[in-house]
Amino acid sequence: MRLKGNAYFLILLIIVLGGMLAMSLRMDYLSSKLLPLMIGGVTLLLVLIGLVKELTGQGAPVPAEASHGHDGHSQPGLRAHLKVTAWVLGLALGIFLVGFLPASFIFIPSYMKRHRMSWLTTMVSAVLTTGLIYIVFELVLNLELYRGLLPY
Amino acid sequence: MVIDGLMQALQYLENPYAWLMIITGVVFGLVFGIIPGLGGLQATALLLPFIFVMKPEHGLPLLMAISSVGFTGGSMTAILINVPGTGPNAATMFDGFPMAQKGQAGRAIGAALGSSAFGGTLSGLLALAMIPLVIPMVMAIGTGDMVFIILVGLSFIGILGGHSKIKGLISGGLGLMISFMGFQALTGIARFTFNSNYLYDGFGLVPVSVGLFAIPEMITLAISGGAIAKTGVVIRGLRDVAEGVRDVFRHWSIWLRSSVLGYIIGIVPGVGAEVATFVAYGQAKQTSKDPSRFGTGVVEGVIAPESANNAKEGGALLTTLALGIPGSAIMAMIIGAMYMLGITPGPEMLTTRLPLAINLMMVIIIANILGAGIAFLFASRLAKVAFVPGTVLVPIVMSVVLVAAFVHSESYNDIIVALVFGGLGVAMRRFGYSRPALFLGYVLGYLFENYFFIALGMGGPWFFVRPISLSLVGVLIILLFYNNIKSLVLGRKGAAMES
Repeated sequence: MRLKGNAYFLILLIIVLGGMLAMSLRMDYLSSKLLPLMIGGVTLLLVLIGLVKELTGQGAPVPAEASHGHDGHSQPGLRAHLKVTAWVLGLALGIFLVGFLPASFIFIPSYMKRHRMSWLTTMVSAVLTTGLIYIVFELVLNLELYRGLLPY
Repeated sequence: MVIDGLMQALQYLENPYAWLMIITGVVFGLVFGIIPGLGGLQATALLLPFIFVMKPEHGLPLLMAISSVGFTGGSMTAILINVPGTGPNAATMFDGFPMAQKGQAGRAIGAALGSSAFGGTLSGLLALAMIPLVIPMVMAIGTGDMVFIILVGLSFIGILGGHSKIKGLISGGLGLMISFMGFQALTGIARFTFNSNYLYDGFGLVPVSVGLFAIPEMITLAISGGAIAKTGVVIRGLRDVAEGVRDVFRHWSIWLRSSVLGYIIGIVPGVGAEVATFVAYGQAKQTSKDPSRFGTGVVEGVIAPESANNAKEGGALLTTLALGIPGSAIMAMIIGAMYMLGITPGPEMLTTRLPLAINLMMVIIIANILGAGIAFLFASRLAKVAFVPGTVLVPIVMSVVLVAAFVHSESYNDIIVALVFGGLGVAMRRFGYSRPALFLGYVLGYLFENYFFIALGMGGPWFFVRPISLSLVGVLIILLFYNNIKSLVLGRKGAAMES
C-alpha cells in the first residue's frame, strides 16, 4: 500500500503525541499531568481515527485552498517545496553564521538574481531591506540583532 | 459605566500617537490585503514584535486597524485582475471582474470601497450598541463556564472553520498540547522542556504566529513563481470611483442586509469571513428581481460581499472581547497581543478595561473610513502593488519575518521555532488542517488550564453542574455529533412516516 502525504503527517503526529503522553505519565503531580494526558489522549485517538480513515480511503478531500495555489493552478509537488525550503534554510544558516544584516544582504540579491531579476531591482531591494531592518530594529527598537558565529 | 468608558475611549484618541498607529495599521492592512496570497493575518504577525514596546491603547488599535481594512485592499485585485487579495474577496470576483472587463473598474472599486467603509462602520456601531446588553450576560459567567466556553470556541473554530471535523479537532488538540510546554504556574513543574532553558517559558507567540501564518504563505508564493498579476485593467479616474460609492446609496437595502448578516456571522467563532461574503452574495442574488444578472457584472454583486466581510469584524471583536474567544485567526493574534501586554481578554474587558474595548470598536469605524478614503485617493497606485513579482516579495518578506521572530526573546532559538512552525504550517495547509484552531489552542491553553483547576478547586469534579456550563456542554455535543443526531432524527421521522 502506498502511503499519501497526509498519512505520513498523521504518523508523525502519533509519534510526537505518543512521546508527549509517555513524558506526561512520568510527571510527579496529578495536576501537572492531568490535562496533558486528557487532551493528548483524545487528540491521539482522533489522529488514529484520521489515519484509519486515510488508509481506508475515507479521508476528507483536501480543500481547494490546499490543493491549489492562489493563482488557481494545481499545487506543485515535494520537489518544488524542497527547493524553496532550501532557500529558507540557507537564509537561517546564513543568519546563524554571519548574523541578520549580512545574511539578508546576501540572501536577497542571491534569490532575486537566481530568479532573473535585474541588477538594479536586486541591489535596490537588498539595500533598502537591510537598511530598513537596521533602522527599525537596531535604531528605533534599540535591539541588538544576532551577529552570527563568525567574527567579522 | 458605558458612557464613562466612551469618554475615556475618546480621550485615547486625543493623543496623536494613537492616530499614527491607526494610520500605520490601515496602510499595512491595505497593502498586505492587495497582495494576493498575503493579508491582514500576515501583516499582524509581522507587526506583533512591535507591540512589546507599546501601551495597550496604542498597540491594540494598530492591530485592530490592520484587521479592519485587510479585506478592503483585497477587493481591488479581485476586481482588477480576477485574483482575490484575501480569501473572503473571492465572492467579489463574480461581478467585480466582469464589471472591470466592461470598462467599469473604477465604479466597481468605488462600490467595494464604499460598501466596505459603511459596512465596517455599521458593525463598529452595532458592537458599541451591544455592550450594555452583553455586560450582564458576561457577568453571569463563572470560572467553570469559562472552561467550556474555551472548549466550545475551539470546537467552533476547528469544526466550522475547517474542511474536516476530525482535522479541525486534531488541530485544536495539538494547539492545547503545545501550550502545555514550559513551567506550569500551578505546580512550578517544567513540562516537555527537555531541560532547555529556552523552553521554560514555552514557545513564544511571535515565532509561532509568523511560523504558522507568514512562512507557509511565503513558501507558496515562492513556489508559484513570478508576478501574481501579469495583466490587469486600469482605473480611469476618480469620477468612476465616486460613481461606485454612490451606487452603495442607491442599493442601500443590499448594503444594510449584507452588513447585518456579516456582523451576525462574525459573532459566531470560527465561521470565516468567506462564509459571510458568500451568504451575503447569495441573499443579494436570491432577493434580486432578476437573479440571472448576477455574475455578469452588476454592482449589487460587489456591494453585498464587500459589506459583509468588513462588517464581520465588529461581531468578531465583540465575541473576542466579551468571552476571550477569538472569532478568527487574526482575533486570536490580537488576544495573544493582549496577553503580551498583560491584559486578560474576557469579562475583564467589558468591566475594568471597558474604555479600551470601546476604543477598539471605535478603531474599527475610524480604520474603515480612513482605509476607504486612502484607497479611494490612491486606488490606481495601490493596485500596482499586486504587480510586484513574487521573486521580489519573497526574499524581502522572508528576511523581515525571521527578524520579527527573533525579537521575541532575542535568541537564535526563536528562528528555529519559527522554522519548525513554518514547516508545520506548510503541512497543515497542504493537508487541510486548521491553523487558526491550532493557534487558538496554543493561545488559550494557559487560560484553559488555569480556569480548569480553579473551577475544580472551587466546585469539585461536578463544577460543570451549572446552567451555563450544562448549556455549553449541550452546544458542544450538538457541534461534535450534529451529523449523527441529524441522521438519527431523520431516520426516526422516516420510520414513523413508513409506519
